[in-house]
Amino acid sequence: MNRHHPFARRAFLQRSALGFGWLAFNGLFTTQARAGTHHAARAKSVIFCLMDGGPSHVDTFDYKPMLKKHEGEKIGAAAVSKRSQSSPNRVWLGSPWTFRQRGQSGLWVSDLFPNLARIADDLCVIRSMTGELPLHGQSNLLLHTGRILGQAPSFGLWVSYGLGTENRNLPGYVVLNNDWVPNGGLENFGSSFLPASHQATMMRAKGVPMDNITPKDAATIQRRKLALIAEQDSAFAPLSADARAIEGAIANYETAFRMQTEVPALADLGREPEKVRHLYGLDSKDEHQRYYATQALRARRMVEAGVRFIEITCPSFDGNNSPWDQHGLLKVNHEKNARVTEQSVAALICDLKQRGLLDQTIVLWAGEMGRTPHTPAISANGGRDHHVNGFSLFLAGGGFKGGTAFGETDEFGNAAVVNPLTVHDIHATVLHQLGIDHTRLTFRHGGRDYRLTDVHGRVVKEILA
Amino acid sequence: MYANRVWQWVMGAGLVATPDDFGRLGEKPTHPEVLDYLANELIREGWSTKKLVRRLVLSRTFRQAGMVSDEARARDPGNRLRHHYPTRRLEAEAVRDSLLAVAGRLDPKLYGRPILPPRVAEDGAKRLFAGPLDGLGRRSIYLQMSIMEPPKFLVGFNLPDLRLPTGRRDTTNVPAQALILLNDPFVEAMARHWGRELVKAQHATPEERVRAMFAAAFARDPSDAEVKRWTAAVREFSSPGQPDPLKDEGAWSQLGHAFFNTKEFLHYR
Repeated sequence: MNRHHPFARRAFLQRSALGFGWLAFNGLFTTQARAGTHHAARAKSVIFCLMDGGPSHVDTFDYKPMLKKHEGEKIGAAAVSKRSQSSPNRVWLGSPWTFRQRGQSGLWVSDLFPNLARIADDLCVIRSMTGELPLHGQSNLLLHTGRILGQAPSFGLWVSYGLGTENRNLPGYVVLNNDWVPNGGLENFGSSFLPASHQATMMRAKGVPMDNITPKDAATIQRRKLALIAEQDSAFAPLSADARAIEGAIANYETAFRMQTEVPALADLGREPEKVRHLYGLDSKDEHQRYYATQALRARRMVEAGVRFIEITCPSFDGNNSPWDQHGLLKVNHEKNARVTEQSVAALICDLKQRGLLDQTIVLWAGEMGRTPHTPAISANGGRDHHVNGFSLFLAGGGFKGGTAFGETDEFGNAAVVNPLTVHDIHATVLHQLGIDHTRLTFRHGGRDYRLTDVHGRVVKEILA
Repeated sequence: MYANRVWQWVMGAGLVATPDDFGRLGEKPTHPEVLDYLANELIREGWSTKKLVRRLVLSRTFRQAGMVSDEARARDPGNRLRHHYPTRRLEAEAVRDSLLAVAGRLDPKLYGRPILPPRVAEDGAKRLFAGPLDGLGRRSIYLQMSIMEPPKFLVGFNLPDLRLPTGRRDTTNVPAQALILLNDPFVEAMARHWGRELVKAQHATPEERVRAMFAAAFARDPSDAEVKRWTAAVREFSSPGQPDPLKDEGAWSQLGHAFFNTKEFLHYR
């Protein structure tokens, strides 16, 4: 026996490939939650509130009194970074919003977020996020796919692929979109090399919620047609070489038929009590806030229905610019973005908590970047530019420690200095809470095993309850 | 490598099942001598894909039936020894082209400028403009591709990521595909078009027309039971008060739409 025979090695690798992929393999065939996780899962679904465009960390969760004190002073060469739109002659800019310590925990939250401030004790804020490039497209792809160049599956796909679905009539990954696709394009939500059966399903806030969900035929016609098709197909299946695939395609018609009623019912908020509708802001005069509130409330209903990963994007009110991208008019438009989103996000967290669902649901609130603590010149219409050298995001529920601030930037909020984290660390930690070891959730593509976290990522145990 | 791809296109699965990976991590060829022979012939014949395809479609392997005996299934469930011709779902472009062709809407013209795919919403800043619903009957190969938003209909049937070299496409089997075939406006438009063409045609009886539809959609004659089944259905789809059932465009469109939703339409065997 030749132990070094190349084919023995091939066989070994193929077997181990199967071995590494067992969780995912399980996911493909089980509909039972948490049946095949790597370890006991703390949470079973994720709601990802994408704050598209990059909310300013030094105006929200990262309190830096030094900015006010040194406002207008040049930042100098030492503060310049490739991970920030910066140059020595730019000047520090203090926050136009007052910061206060909130709740029992004393977490710092600015007046920009009055509703989130009220639930500060539920928030686990990371203040030391770092990215790679201060660009929207690349940073969005990094946040979604773990790579600045994309060409890899989205976070939601990995979760759906790893855990399977809890509800066969609904997709595992739903993107609640409004009218604006974030920079980086649809690739942010793409399946790439993962099986396309996990691909994101888009649900719109305006009009018909999902493509092709409205039956084109009257119910009686459609039923008659489906009976005819079923009769014809039942003869075809045994005649074909792969009867199982044909039978699967036949079964899909039954699911599709049910989805036509189930999806619109899920999207329909008409029967939510007035109190709940008000809590989310569905009665707002601002149409963009109504879209966001609609999506947030639908997200809760989807968690209840067993959808694994729900992403909510921000509505764009500014034509062709990312919602939170305030290079100018920081005060006006950050306030507008806050008004559109933060009441609904806070309502979502409260509502989940009241229903006892927050424990098993991870709410991730994150932009693809932060904003510079400096500006080219002090002006009333000024703003902040792109910055991934140290910024903030928060997690809530799902076993994350509430009322916590983890990591620190320097005294100007310019660079992460204590416990700097990357997007990979967040991915790894969220997967961990879902019962997945991020180093073992792999997919063989192009001759190697790929992971969401590539070769990076650590589970940040310090922020787990 | 190329001979294996052509084999895969013609036969459904390559002699090496992993077309992107001939290395140690890939699968071994099931018939290495055949692959070597085909590769040598390909080179000898001046790298002509046409000649290679001709050689393959004239082979006994290609001309096999799609039926599998229980014994063959038990011994070689993966069909590595090519004991039958596998049933395959049509690729995305072929699904769209088949709809155009069967409905009588296909424009067979070669070459010309690409045509924009239909879009629900245009986005001028991203240069995403909308084209006609049926692409003026142009084949899918002429649809303009955008990495930002590839044609939605094709994506539904596993058009691969446009930036990813993909030797073997996914073939998923998901309810969304049933929803597309049931409710998508393009499929509906093709059914209407087919209905219009059918009522114009000179058929003496509904039975004769159903036979013509079988020939167009499945390339075969129907059994007597099938003729009965489909003529009964078209009677039920007919609007009351229509004196000539052969002139009821709506009913024949409904029937055509049902044809588009059968598994036999979507699969190749």
